[in-house]
Amino acid sequence: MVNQTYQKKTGQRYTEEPQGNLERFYGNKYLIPLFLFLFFIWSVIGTDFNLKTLVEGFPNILDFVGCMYPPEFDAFSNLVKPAIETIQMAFLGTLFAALISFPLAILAAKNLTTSRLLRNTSKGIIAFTRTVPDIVFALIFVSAVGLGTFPGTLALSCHSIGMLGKLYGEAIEEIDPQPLEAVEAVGASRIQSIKYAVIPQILPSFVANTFYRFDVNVRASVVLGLVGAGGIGFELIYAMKLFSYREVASILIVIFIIIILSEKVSDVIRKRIIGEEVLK
Amino acid sequence: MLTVEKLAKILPDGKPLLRDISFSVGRGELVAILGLSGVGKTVLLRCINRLTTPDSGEIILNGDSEPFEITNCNIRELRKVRRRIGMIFQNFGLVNRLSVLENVLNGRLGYTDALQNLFFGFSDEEADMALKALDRVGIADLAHRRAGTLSAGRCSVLLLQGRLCRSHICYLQTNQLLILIRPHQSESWAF
Repeated sequence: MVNQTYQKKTGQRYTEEPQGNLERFYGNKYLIPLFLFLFFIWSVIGTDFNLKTLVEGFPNILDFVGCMYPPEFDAFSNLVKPAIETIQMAFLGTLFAALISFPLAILAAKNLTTSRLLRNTSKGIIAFTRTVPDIVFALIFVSAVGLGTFPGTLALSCHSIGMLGKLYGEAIEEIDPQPLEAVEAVGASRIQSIKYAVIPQILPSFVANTFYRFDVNVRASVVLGLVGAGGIGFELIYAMKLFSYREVASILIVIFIIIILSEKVSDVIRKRIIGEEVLK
Repeated sequence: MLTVEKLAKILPDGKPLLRDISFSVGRGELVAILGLSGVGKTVLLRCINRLTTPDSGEIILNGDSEPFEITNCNIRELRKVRRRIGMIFQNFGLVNRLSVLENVLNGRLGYTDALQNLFFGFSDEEADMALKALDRVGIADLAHRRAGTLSAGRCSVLLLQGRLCRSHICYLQTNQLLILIRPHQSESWAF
């Protein structure tokens, strides 16, 4: 509109910058919400999203959940060992993934790595490990080393690199650039500036993301049970195949307890790191 | 002592920011660069430390021994130059999550061996030196507090100490409106 009136008045083609910016600004303002709305409609159609069917089928959900009640409390004693296995698997898987993805994240961060080749390579590795689902990694490792928790651990660490590398990389890119520059300005080398200006800044999010990944890995190990990769997931799949839903319920309770515990530990550690910032 | 010759810097969008800047600063002189915001005072200063690479021109820092040609030296030489130049940033550039002492020690990074420092951190002598520097300005009692909890005034005092924690020959300071360049008279200011 601005464009047209301007043309009428002056009789010449509108090329000046101020109006151009204005037009671009208003154009964008409505374009994105409109696009999101169209995408929403399109996705609702594409996924057969239908609230009516859900409401009609609701009694069936109650039936199914009813089968799970009451949980099989006798099963708990048999679940202790697989539960511990699951925690060990998730811990090692997360640890190895963290150790590998941190250097990858540094190489993938725009503000630390200037070489485009290096950056794209590490970004590629990170994206690739995220693309391949953990269950496919598990299949690969089961075929290599046989059934059990070992291939499960390997699969978890490979797949975790993708998420951790991406989140660490984003945290690194979001740091305040001034301390980094200030440290460089006094003659610090690259490694030194990472140690003294980058790591202190990303430490809280580093801890939070790593613990969240541990949480994800505890749950992911359930899926790995499908391919015989040990842990509590194996028990869950086994119970579901036997239609013993009461046992399924008790397994879910055990997983819930593990998740709550890991959250508590994460809270304690994060409080120790962040809490020191408060005046002593 | 510090000579800038025909310095030019063109912004990424093609507009020239600095054009044909030449001046020299002698030993013990205190120079202030004044100008409206956005005219390139900070960029000029960053060029002297090569945090920004100028498009053309020369900057030569004449220390006690050999002259440094800042505009085209390799990374190893650059490290040597940078540790002889103190720079105080507009927003201080402290690492808020590290302690006051560690921030002062960061000023020594140009001297320490990168690998040794990576695995063992700073030496006791360096920590001692930093503590003494803090003591001189009367904030030694804050040494183990996080830098993020300090007031702005204390931040600047702290930074000064951090940059003084080594022998330097030139000291740059950027503020909102004025920029100071101060090559030091004698080493008595430094350690």
